[in-house]
Order: sequence, then C-alpha cells, then structure tokens
Amino acid sequence: MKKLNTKSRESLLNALADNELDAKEQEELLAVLDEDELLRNELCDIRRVKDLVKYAYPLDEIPGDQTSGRGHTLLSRAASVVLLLLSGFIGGWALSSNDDRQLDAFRLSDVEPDAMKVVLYLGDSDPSKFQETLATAEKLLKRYEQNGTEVYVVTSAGGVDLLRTATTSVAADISALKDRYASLHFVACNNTLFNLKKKGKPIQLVEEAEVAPSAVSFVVNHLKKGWTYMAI
Amino acid sequence: MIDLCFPPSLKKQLKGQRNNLYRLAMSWCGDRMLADDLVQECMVKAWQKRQQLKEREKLNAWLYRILYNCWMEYLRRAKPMAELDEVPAEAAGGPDGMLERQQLADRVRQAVARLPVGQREVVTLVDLEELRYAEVADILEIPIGTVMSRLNRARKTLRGELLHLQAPPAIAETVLRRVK
Repeated sequence: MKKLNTKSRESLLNALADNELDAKEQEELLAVLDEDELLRNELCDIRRVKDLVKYAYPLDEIPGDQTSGRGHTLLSRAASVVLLLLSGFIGGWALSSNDDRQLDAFRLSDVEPDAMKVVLYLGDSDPSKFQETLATAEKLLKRYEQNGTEVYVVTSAGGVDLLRTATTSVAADISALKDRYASLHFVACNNTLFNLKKKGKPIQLVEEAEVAPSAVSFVVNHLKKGWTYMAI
Repeated sequence: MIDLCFPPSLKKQLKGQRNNLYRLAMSWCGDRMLADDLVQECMVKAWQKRQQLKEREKLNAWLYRILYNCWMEYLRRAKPMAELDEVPAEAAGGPDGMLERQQLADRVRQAVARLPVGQREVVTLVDLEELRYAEVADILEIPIGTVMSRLNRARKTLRGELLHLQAPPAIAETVLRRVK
C-alpha cells in the first residue's frame, strides 16, 4: 500500500470515522491502519473528538418550549446514556473515583423493543464487579435462553480490566461462559484501550473479547435498535 | 411561540426537529436566547416555504439549510462586537461529579466556539446531526472538498485543544486485534 501524504491521510481518516468511505476504500485504509500504529492513534483521536463534541451538546429541550410535551425524544435519551457513559470515561481520565453505582436498567420507549437483547455495561475496575457482571449475564442468558436472548458485556474506563489479561481475575469464567453461551459477547472500548496504551499499560485482551471503537457509540446504537441497557 | 398550522404529519415532523435545530443553533452561536430566536425564525420560514419542500424525507436537511440561512442573516445583520470565542460558557454547578462533567462539556463548547464559523458549522453538522458530507455541502452551498478541508482543520484544532485532557503520552506496545 502506498504511503499516504498528510492531507489525504487526514481526509481519509476523517472520512473513515464519519463512515463516508465505500467498502473498497474502507478495506484499503483498514489494511494500512493494520500496519501503521500512528495512523490508528490518529483515528482514535478523531473518534474521541467526535464523542466529546456530541457529549458537549446534549439534545436538551428548548427552554420554555411548550410544544414538545412528550418529554424526551429517542436521541435525548441516547444523549443521557452518552452522559452516563462519559461519566465513566471521565472517571477513567481525570479522577480516581470509586463510586458505587446502583444497578440500573432501561430501554428507550420510543423504539421497537428487541426482546431480551441486553447491553450490560461495566465501567469499574473493582474485581467484585467482575463477578457481578458475569453472574448477571449468566442469569439473563439462563432465564431467557429459550427466547433467543443476546447479551453484550460492554466495558470502558476501569471496566476494561475485566477483559485485559494483565488485570482480569475471571479469565477462566469468561471462557467457560462464552463456551456455554454463543449469544454472549464481550466488548472493550478502543478509546479506553488507547488511553491505557498511552500510559504504557498492557492492553492484551482475553481471546473472547472484541473491540468497539467507542463504548458510547456502541451502547447508543444498540439502544436505538431497542436493546435494554443495564449498568453494573 | 408560533402556532404551526401544518398538515398533521408535517407539523409533527417539524416539532420533532425543534430540539435538533436548537442544539445546532446553540453550537453555532453559543447563546440560548439567540438560538431560540433562530429556531423560531427557522420554523416561521419553514412554514412560509413549505410548498418548496418536494421530498418529505429531505425535511431535516431542508430545515438545517433554513436555519443556516437564518444564522447567516443574523451574522450579516448584527455584526456582533464580541467574537464568538468570548461567549461565556454556561456556569457549572452541582455536586463534584456533575461539576467535572460540566467543566468538560464547557471546555469542549469553548473550543468549538473558538473555531472559525465555517469550520464550526461543518463539524457540528457532521458530528451532532450526523449528516453526510454531501448533505453538508448542499446545506452550506459549498463544494464537498471544502467540507472536508474545513472538517480536517476543525478536528485538528479540537484534537490539539481537547485531547490533552486525557492521559499523557507514553510508550506504545500491543496491537489491537479487531476493530468493528
């Protein structure tokens, strides 16, 4: 693959982040990215900037607007999830908070519910929450196995420690669960991994893990499809 | 508040877009009152020009275009004394966690407000409204290449201003296995 000049490189990375490339262009660029860590880092930066801009402008109601009596729209709900997740990211970046989050579950009422599809979110590196996450996932899968349930365990901030080989205390449990339930998936946030990598921390993941560019986008996209969100 | 006398479905669609229009207007002008005025003006114009909307599925882009024209008209008319980067960020408040989040949001909004107007319009249309580059080009009446170059410059500036909030650079090592 030919070397990209700075201008086309930036344009291509932005276009990739904005989903503007066709399949062939995307494939070619991903092949380049595979070989070029610097480019991957740039792509991560672009995606983080996109997330931050979205985060900074939630879809609020217009002050004093009497015409939108139905309350939150789908996107404003999604924005609240962004806020919720970003609070986890911020915790990862700037603070060292160990807040005890309540188990929280909701689904957007504005979309057609997709029965028994659950996104289970973990943003905390507390090992006791690793067990809690796996137990919750298994409970859901067991209870609703006949209904074709599907569970994504999505991790960001401290939560990625669940899937990092260097930090997880439940690698064998993850493997056993994954063997038992094909519809169980584990996802790590690429933005968080990138931050860890910058800090020089190992980011090797357990074999069962997949990587999504951004946990926020991943969760919001699934909520829009009717998935239920639960926070550990 | 105007009373929208559109056919029911169009009226509903327009109402459904009010919050998006307001968010976009806020990201451009940084002022709640002005954003509200721009949205109101946009709605009035949309009503007056409703016959021009040939394809209902293009309603959003059509509305963004009207809002953009209102915004341009405002800039031409008002020639504001204060540069937009002087627009004060909204006051943060509440408990610590909320304060941290509010401060981060403020910093992002300030960085967006400091972008040149053209770059700000492009980056918000792409990132907030998730429009395709071609749609942004249509709305702003600029070539698609200009959309891309403005976006490049805007993102480069924002990266420089915002990403230092995160972890300091250190040694890199493992390669990610899979990106969906």
